Amino acid sequence: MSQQEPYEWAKRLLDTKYIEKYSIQNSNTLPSPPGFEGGASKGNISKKQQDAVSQTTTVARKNQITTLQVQKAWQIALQPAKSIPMNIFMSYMSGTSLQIIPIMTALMLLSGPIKAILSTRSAFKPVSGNKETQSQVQTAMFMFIAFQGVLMYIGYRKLNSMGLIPNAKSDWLPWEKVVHYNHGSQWFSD
Amino acid sequence: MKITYTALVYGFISLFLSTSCVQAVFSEDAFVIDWQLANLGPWEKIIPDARDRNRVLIVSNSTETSSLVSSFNISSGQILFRNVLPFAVDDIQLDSNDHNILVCVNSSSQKWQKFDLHDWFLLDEGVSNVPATTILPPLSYPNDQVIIKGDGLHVLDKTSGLAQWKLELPQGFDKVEYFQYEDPLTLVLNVNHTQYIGFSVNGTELIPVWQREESLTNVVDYAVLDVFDSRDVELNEDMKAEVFSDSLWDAYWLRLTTNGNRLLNLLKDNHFSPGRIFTKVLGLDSKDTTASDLKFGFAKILIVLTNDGFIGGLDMINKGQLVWKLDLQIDQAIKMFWTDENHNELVVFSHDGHYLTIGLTNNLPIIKSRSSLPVKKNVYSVIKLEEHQYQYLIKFDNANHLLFTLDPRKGMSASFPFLFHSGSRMFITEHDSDGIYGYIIENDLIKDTWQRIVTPKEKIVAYDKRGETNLNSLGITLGDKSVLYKYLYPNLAAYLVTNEELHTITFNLIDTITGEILVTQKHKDSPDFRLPTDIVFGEYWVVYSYFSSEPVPEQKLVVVELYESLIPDERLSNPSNLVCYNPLTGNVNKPQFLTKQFIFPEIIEKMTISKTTDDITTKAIVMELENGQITYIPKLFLNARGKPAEEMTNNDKKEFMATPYTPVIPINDNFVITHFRNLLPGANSKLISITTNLESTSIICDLGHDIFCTRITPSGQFDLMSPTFEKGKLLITIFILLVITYVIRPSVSSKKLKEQWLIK
Repeated sequence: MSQQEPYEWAKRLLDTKYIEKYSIQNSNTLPSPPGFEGGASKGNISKKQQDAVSQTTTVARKNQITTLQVQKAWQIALQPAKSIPMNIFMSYMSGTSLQIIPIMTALMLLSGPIKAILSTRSAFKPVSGNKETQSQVQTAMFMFIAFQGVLMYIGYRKLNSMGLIPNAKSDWLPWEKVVHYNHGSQWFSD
Repeated sequence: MKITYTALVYGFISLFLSTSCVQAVFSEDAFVIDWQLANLGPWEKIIPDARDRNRVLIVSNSTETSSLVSSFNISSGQILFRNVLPFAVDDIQLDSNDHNILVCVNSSSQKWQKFDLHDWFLLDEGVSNVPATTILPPLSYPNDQVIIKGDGLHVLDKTSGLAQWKLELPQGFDKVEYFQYEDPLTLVLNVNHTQYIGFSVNGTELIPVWQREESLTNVVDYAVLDVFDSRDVELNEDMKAEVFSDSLWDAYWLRLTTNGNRLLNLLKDNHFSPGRIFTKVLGLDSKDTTASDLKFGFAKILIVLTNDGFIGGLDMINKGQLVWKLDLQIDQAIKMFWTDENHNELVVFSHDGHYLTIGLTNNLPIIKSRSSLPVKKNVYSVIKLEEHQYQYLIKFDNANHLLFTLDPRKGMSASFPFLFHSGSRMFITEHDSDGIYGYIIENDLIKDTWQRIVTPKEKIVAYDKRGETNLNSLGITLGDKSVLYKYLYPNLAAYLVTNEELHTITFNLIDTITGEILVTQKHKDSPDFRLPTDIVFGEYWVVYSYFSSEPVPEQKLVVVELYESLIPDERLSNPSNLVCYNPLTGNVNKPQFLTKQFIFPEIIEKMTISKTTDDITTKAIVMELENGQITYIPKLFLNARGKPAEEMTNNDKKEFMATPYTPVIPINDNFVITHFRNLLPGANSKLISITTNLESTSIICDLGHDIFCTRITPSGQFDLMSPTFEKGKLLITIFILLVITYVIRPSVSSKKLKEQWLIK
């Protein structure tokens, strides 16, 4: 076994010249996949052509990015809207009895949107910073806040139906003052 | 043990009322928490029952309109049956033909009634033509057989005439009430006119077998004395300290630290040994009820004053045992008051114008003074003027008044010396069957203010003032969370007037300062004036009862609820300091009211409202029925806002304890608190409610001919741990959990350490 010839690959590994002898094909010369004429195929075309192409593609790309950003912004904005029907159904089904689980879910419906509204900017960070899309992203942001508001309203309705929102006169009855009719006078009867 | 957190209590109330059967009188409670002193009153006549040598028939307690005829076991001293006759009986004899028949006669009017002695059914009655009666053995003892020599009593042998038995006469011996030589030999002695002692032969001796105290019949007034409990002092000090602390937080911190210190002391006293503490905590709920009775305020002395001038202290947790008794030697006692807040002294007024003060220090009563009023007239009524501890307003039979100061020296040095003269006015309302009268006291002078005199055909049959209650809520919360404000003007009284000419009964609500009638409603369903009527006035509602004979004879219960406004959320009184309400200027808003009528299956004799310490527990209306039973119904059933079940909206149903309007209120057997006791309340009985330290529990007593007391919990026993609560198991579980935690802790920490080394 010890007299056996070493493997070919092991020899090449130790031979420092081998790598220089090896012909390398430039990846730029490789043809692009069909329908793909981006910057990767630069090597195949002349400089002039290249410029012309790059000009048209940057416009197209910009347009594409804008639409993509707007799409993305609307996706973010519509995310809370998707949970609205589910929340309505859940809060309807869980009844108005005072139990810890429905109270917790209702409180989460109130607190979640507040947190979400406060972090609207960070939620829209991936799509913000583009002047062209700014107005549309802002509309999306506004809708995002509106949908969060709807979620909050569901939570509020839920808490209110459980009687946990002190919005009626009876909630403040213990704080109302007593009227004193007899100032200093007293009344006795047999 | 007081729970003052209204919300918490309401929660509990709703919980317990939903399982309302809990409030029933169960057989284990019957005869345990309730007691009765079944009285006969002073014996007037005794005849032996020809059928049984152990039994006698006794006539007692005769008044102008009634008499009591009883069957009595003379050898055991037990009442077998009591029968109230509607006329004064002065003679009873057995029917000459049949010794199973008893004839009761009033010799002056020749009225008589005939009873079957087996079942006491009325066989026959009439006026004149008294049936022939058997003359039984002479009722007075035969002189030749019982001889009193000096302070000894000798029973002689029939044939030899020698003393067969000797007996030393008891102190206060009055007379030999009954003697029977034939087997079983029975001797009944009367001591102090009202005490009866039964003797029988044991070998060669005569020994007392039973004893009856008949002095405490016909109670006219009462007072309640709390049994001194050292823990009360501690609790009072705690509560005082909490009340006087600056803020809620300070009070809470105070409670926390005192209880923390107590826990620490408990641990220290037991040398931090868990075993000792465990056994001590387990021992706290011992079977011995005396400690808990004291703690819960059930241990009280009920002091009763009788018409005949006897005053007696009854131990309320000891089956009404007589603790002490005093003969005041006055005729027709009428009223009794505590003269001080510490309940050390009582003052008793009698009809003939005498008054006595009775000292009660160390639970031993002494007559301190006995004097007569400066005016020599018959006293009609006495009102105690609360603020001025020693002042009483006395009304005489001729409608004159006297402002009487019990002890002028004390009165001057009382803690409110200036209050009376600082421009404060005292208004008084009095009533009799002819009218209601208002007075004002200014500078020790009594002046008439107003009068409501009824016409000669009219009569005031029932009257009640608005009771003083602790205000817990200003309004009623409806199902939609809106509020109906209660009418909380304090100076109100309600009364019922019958009109014989028009056959009507009228309910009136009156402002007692101005005499203005605020609410009136008339019932034209031909009320029966022979049957009793009564009225009770709660916080913002009035309930009254009367018997109507049209269209069908029926006992009616009417509830009137007073509100500031019937529109939810509308408050007409203004709590701001800018508006100064004064009943005399007429700027007090008038009440608006709702009313509903109910039908009750039994004739109601008297009513009262259950009282509790903080008035958080739902009120119950306790009723003494004509058949001698006592029952109660929650006020919630008598709801003036109630609608029939089919008309109730969802919002109506959401209201706390909303009950639909059911016009016929059934008697639930579980609510008959006298269960199968035979109670003789008498005509002038008093149905009273006494608070205990437990908010849930109220003591109900019926004082009259008999004395009966029991306890009720109108909202269930929400502040008392149920007897099935297993403290031992709970403590053991906690202990085991602690041990497990202690054992497992090292293994958990080593596991955590290993996890950190192996994974991270």
